[in-house]
Amino acid sequence: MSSRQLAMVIDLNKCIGCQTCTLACKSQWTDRDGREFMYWNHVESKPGKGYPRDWENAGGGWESGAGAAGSGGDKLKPGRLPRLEEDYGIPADFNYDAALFQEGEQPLRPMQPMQWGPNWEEDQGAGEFPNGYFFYLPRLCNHCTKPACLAACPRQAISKREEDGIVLIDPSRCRGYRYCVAACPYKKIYFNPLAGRSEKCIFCYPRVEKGIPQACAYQCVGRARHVSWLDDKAGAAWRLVHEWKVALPLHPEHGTQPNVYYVPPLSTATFDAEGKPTGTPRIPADYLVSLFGPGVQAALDTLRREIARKEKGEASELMDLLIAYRHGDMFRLDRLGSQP
Amino acid sequence: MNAPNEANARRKFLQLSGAALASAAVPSSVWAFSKIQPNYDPLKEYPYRSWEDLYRKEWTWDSVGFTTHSNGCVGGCAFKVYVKNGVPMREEQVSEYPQLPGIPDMNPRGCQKGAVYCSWVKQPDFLKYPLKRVGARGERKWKRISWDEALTEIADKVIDTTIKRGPGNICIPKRPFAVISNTGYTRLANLLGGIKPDVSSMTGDLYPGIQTVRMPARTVSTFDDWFTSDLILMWHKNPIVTRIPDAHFLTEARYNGARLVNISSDYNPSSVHADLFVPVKMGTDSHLAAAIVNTLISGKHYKVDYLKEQTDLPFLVRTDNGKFLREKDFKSDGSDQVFYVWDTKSGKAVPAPGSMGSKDKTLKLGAVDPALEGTFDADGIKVTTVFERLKAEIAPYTPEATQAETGVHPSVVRKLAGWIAECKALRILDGYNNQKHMDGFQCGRLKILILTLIGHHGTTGAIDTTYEGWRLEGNSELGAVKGRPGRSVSMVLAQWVWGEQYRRSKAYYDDAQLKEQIGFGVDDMEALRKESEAKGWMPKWQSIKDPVVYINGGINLWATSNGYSHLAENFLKRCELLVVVDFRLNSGAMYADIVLPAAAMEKLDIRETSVTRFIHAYGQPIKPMYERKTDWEINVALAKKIQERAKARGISRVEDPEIKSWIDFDKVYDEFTMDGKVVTDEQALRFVMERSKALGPGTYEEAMKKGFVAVGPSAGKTAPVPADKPYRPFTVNVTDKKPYGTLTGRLQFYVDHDWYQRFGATVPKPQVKGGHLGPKKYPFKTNSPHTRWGIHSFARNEKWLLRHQRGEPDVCLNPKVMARKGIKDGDLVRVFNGQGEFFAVCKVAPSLPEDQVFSEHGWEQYLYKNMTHYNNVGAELINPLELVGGYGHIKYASGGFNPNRIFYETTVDVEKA
Ligand code: SF4
Ligand code: SF4
Ligand code: SF4
Repeated sequence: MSSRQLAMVIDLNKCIGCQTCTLACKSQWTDRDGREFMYWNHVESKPGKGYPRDWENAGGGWESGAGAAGSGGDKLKPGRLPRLEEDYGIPADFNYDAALFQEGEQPLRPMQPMQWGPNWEEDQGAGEFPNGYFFYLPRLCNHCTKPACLAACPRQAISKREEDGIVLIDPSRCRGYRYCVAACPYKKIYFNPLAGRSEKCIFCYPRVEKGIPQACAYQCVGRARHVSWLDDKAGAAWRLVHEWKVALPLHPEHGTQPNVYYVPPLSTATFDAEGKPTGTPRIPADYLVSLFGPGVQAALDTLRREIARKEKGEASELMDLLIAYRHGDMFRLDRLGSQP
Repeated sequence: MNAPNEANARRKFLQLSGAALASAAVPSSVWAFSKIQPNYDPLKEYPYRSWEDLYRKEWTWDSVGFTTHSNGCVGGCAFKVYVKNGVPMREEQVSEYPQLPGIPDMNPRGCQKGAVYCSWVKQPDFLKYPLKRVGARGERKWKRISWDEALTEIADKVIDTTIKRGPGNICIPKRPFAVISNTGYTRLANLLGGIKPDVSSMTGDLYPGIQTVRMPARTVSTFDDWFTSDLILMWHKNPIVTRIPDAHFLTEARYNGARLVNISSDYNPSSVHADLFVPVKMGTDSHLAAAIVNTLISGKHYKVDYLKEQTDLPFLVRTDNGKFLREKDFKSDGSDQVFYVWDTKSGKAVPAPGSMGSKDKTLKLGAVDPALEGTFDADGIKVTTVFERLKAEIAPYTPEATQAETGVHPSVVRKLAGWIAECKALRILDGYNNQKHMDGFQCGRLKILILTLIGHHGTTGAIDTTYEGWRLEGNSELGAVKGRPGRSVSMVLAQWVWGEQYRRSKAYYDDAQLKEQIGFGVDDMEALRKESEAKGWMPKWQSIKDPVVYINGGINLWATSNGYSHLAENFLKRCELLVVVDFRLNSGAMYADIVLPAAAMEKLDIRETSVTRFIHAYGQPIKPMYERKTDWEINVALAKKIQERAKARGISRVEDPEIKSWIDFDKVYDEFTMDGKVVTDEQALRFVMERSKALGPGTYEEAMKKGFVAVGPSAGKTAPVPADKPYRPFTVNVTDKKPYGTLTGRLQFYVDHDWYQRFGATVPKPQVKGGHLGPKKYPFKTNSPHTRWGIHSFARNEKWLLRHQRGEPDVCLNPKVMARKGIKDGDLVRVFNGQGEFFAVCKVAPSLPEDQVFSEHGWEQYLYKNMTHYNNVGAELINPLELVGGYGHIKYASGGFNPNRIFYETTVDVEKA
């Protein structure tokens, strides 16, 4: 185990699906050198097949062990590699020059038809009007405490940094075997075909080392992302995960013990056949349990209870923490656990 | 700018990836955790860490500058630009805005479009050199020419046209969304007697209904004020998508105990975080609003004292002719702008203070206690109150009675009205989509009435329409030229005539159906337009001038109009020289005779929207590249060339009696630059900033150093900007009893203009019955709201953004409709009606009702198969209530009051292409 772990909490009741995080990461790390098709951070509309397509059915992670729920066993589950064109989608290039400055060729189009992409099912979701529903799920590497990717690498090219728990692939040792890609149940490792090796989210360690939060988090215009050391009891991660228990890992059943957590989404009521509101949230409870595990009901109850306090004009520490009056307060990166 | 080896690299990438990744599967071998740590524990310490510098080196730069990208956007966000080897590499929000007490701060401001701006400006569609058309218009046969050649041709044509056809045949529509960039065109148009079209109504972004209630209609709180609300109605506005930098104030207000309600015909992204979704049938919102008003009034949920002082609801109306009781009813030389209330204390009609004709410039009632209800005898004239009239006319619109029209269950209306009645700070976010419906005019009046009835307008709440821009006196001074007003015109009317929209709308709409639903048809609209022009209500330039020389600055010519192909064809017939100034080749520029390359990121300017208390800097992080010039430089250069050519040709003054003005061709440059005072961008920008009270000396430096600068108190046009609280408009009318700029001096809900009486619209109530006005033979309504992926056409062809969509225009359909029509997700479909067609890929949308064809706004024409365009199917209408003038505050105002583009009544059909 690393001596300390940096953790991120993403509040799905504040995420607006704007993809600013996605493009912040893109311009920071992956708009070049064979990384173009990779989205170390992306945001998918749920429910849906997501990105890479059908990742939730692509295996990976740990066999469930005899231990406590979510702790997993010590055997990796088999996983499959997503296909580049069908499951990731090739980043389209466009005929700008020909379409605009030369007669004959039109319209402006992707030079190869697009088959899939990081946001293919935008705002789609499920249900039937007027009871359709969807919400946004930002995803990045979870910098797991028990990373399946690391265990799967026969080259031992993947390591977890002692000082902050960031999981990294050493490009000089990686030979591009891609066992890690298959092993990660979140499919958050990508094979770089130009470089012939695998790459992934680096939790922006060059920024973090300078005390500047991750691009996807710091640039999140929905102010949905908190970053702090998991053992910093004044930090949002500790408080939301352990104190208030409103932040939960995604698919804990894979046993990798993610360090990215989510505040689950509330939703408006459905309507009955006559058009009267039913009082039942439109995102089905069992769907949320399938994503975030059994703790999700209690988390939603806590959120509703604390919102109700605010409605009555009472104070709520939890709500104030999630509101985050000062953007800077959402991040506590200093090694000692104090604010930047 | 494009890496020369990009294509090679890409080919290599594809080859490699194809071979390497083709559906590989990993053998289901299993590794145990324990097996992998023979020498060290990769979970604990890793011995080979020297490689880590690799990524550290990727995050380096040479210099950092500032910019914003508010091109068409209501926002304004400070971004840092990281520059390496002279190339802008990456942007990141500044995130240094100060916090106001008790309010979440504005950090970080800036959306995904800003985050990829550095990549976009390097795309090949960005212009590098002046271009001249050498083929037919739209053919895209271009020749690179020099600035001198381009400017000479334009200057000569401007002079020739003015001399041959008379002044006023030069048209200069513009909106480059930055202060001096924009005002340069205004100044030039004024000096040339040019036509200055209202581009807001062209886009459908006016709020004429609300303009009859308050002046100005278009104003907002700074958006941090959303946090102070306890009930927020998102209505015809989808802020989660269209107000990305401000949306957090909504989710944070919700965490602070506010209820969020989304009133929308589809379950759009703003519904995702709402507490109540109200699925109103598209275009029937006026009926829903009327039902809410009805419920509030019948439940007596209105604030009597506030209404008596702040509104015209207690004003007296004659029962014989429905006109306001006026002073001239008593004295032949009396004012027709002095009105009366019934004083319950003295038992007689007394003049109300604060109206346009009143000498008392206050709303203070003193000892008078006006009656809100009742019927009275005022010296023999039978009168009642506006409130009585309103109550009677709104009485039929109960939640139960309106359900058939709106599709909203009465229990939902009552629940919502109950929330409105009990809330302490109501906010209505009123988007642009309302006034694009025929009934948007009346619906706007009803919405503000809801807020007013409970006494929240100007107190704890607000109805946020759209920003008006901070008051910058220096900017007005820069644009205005004494004695040279130019020619302002309604662009909707200009396109109705020049683009022959009248003919097109007449062919599309069924006049009998229109008469049944609204009482008048397209022929009546045309007759009323002419009558309005003849009476001098709306400017008539479109009827007596032509856009012979058209200099288009920063607008995508026909993208926000209707009937793209028809409009372009008819418009181009009248235009001899079409000049497009833009930073990229947009669809409109394809048809240009001359294209001039404007600087984009290389701009030195400011953005003045009033949704934050900050003015944002275009800080010129890099100097103009290639042969680009800033918009200000282009205007200066054109003025210079016109003066030079005039002198060379011996041309000086041309009289312009129609507007009691003149054009001095041989002095245009001297006048434009104020004899050399405002030649450079910096001079012009300093002129604006240093002469504006809300900014002043030192603010130019501050903006360039930080990327933004806060405005002072005088920036607010309807209230001061407080130092420690969000700005909220119209507060002084309540606190200081300052009259509103309306005829009655109040929030005015009664209009006794002949035409309002004629069309049954004296009070706010629905004008349209029976749903959509488009021909019923087409079963679908078209919905084309703003998108998260662009601001109009801005950013819509950015490659990273397209990669997050389908890479081409899409159309959303309900899955049941798709099943019925045999359409699958990803199929190409054809959307059509009698007026036109367009092609797009279909995207499945369970959140959409079955009666809609939904295609977000802003796609470029050149993205469509066969150069079709989504607005090819749109057909527009004119609401005569918006043609009125000569009635106090209800008169033509550019950006304020003139016919808004109404096209959401269009119906279509769809099929698999
Ligand atoms: S999310 Fe995947 S790639 Fe990231 S640490 Fe966990 S297993 Fe490894
Ligand atoms: S932490 Fe950094 S590298 Fe990882 S997804 Fe976020 S921006 Fe990208
Ligand atoms: S930037 Fe923030 S709000 Fe926007 S999609 Fe990403 S996580 Fe959500």
